[in-house]
Amino acid sequence: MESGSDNSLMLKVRSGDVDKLGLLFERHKAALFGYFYRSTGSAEISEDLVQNVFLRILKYRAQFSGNGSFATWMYHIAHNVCADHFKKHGTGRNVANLPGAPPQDCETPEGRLLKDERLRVAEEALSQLSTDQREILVLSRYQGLKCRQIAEILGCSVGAARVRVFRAITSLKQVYAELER
Amino acid sequence: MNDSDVKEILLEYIGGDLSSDREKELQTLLTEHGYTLEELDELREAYARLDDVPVPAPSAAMTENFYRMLEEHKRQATARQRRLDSLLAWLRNRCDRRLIARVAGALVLLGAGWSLGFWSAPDAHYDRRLDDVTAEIREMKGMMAYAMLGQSSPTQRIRTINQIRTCGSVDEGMVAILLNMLGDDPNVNVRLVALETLAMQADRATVRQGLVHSLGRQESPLVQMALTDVLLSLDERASISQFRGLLERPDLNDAVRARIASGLERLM
Repeated sequence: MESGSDNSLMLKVRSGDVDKLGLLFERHKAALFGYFYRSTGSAEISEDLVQNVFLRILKYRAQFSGNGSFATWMYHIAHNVCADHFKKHGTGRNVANLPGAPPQDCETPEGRLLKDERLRVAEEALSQLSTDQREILVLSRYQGLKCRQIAEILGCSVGAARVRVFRAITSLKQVYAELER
Repeated sequence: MNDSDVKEILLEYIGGDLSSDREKELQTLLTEHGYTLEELDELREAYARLDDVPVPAPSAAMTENFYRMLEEHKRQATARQRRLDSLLAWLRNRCDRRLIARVAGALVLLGAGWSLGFWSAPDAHYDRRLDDVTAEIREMKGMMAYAMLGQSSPTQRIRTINQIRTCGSVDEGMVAILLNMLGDDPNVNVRLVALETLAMQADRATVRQGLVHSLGRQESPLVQMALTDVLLSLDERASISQFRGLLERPDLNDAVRARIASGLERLM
């Protein structure tokens, strides 16, 4: 195991060198924030949830075995944190607070309008999916996780994870079709 | 090829990860499972459009909060460790090794005893159910006995009274019936068994009163003698007037008279 890998850092955290958690935080904070942001649509809530994940990592550090990857273990915790949040505050996703894409110098006003519309539809489509489907797309597309890892995070078989990802993409396509009709 | 394998290849294509040697497999699969490449391309585009959704950068406050939380955790851990160290130092200064070994040994024995007790203790739930079933059986026996007290055969009545005695739950209704039997039953043996059963319930005021009143109604010397013994053993002072009444009867058996006379002296 490489000395600077996620797993070796987490094993050091487990054995008492908690300062190493800072390195893991720096590596994963943006991706984790993105995971929560795409699920909740709120930057403020997402920052709180990221904090919550690292608090749980610290609390349950003894449970990290080092056999699986740190990222999978971390997203498993993130999945539970997200589920707890939705259980407490409902599953609604905040679309109104989402930012538009930054304008580029060469863009024409028409091009800008088209881009904004495309973004709005993408946002709306993501919001119209169920919490489970949204999460599975976030994990597979944005976090770049393989079905094997998704299966570990969600606690299902690899086959079931593949079927769920495929169904989520099919649902997304249907929502796009309805929104653009 | 099962559904999971089919989805694997389809997802590889949709995600843009399909290797060239797997393309043939995809072509075969499209023909076999009725998918068209256009359908897959639509899914691929829908999936790729997710990238349009921008994500803002987290604020600096998130990072600050994280390091504050980490510092707080370290501070608490250090404080805990310091308390533990000072406790151990105190123990080292105050106690010699033999005492520590004895305390540790006692704790181990305590733990072992507790574990043994925990594993060998009977199941409380099972015991409670057993108690419930036993109580129900007793109650049923009592009810059956209740119904059989009117039997014509003295032997049957004695058996019934014995059943009442063993059922363990003699209620006020049964006490009243037993007192009636003691006073009115034509058979001496039945009256004696009823008296014996009532004597076991003598902690009740109704039973003691019933025994005292019954004394004046008894004609059989055997029952008079037994009843006198029971009342004297209970030190029942309320029976003094009944005893005096009996002593005035000229037909009273001499043995009974002697027993009452000696008992009266003790009671007074």
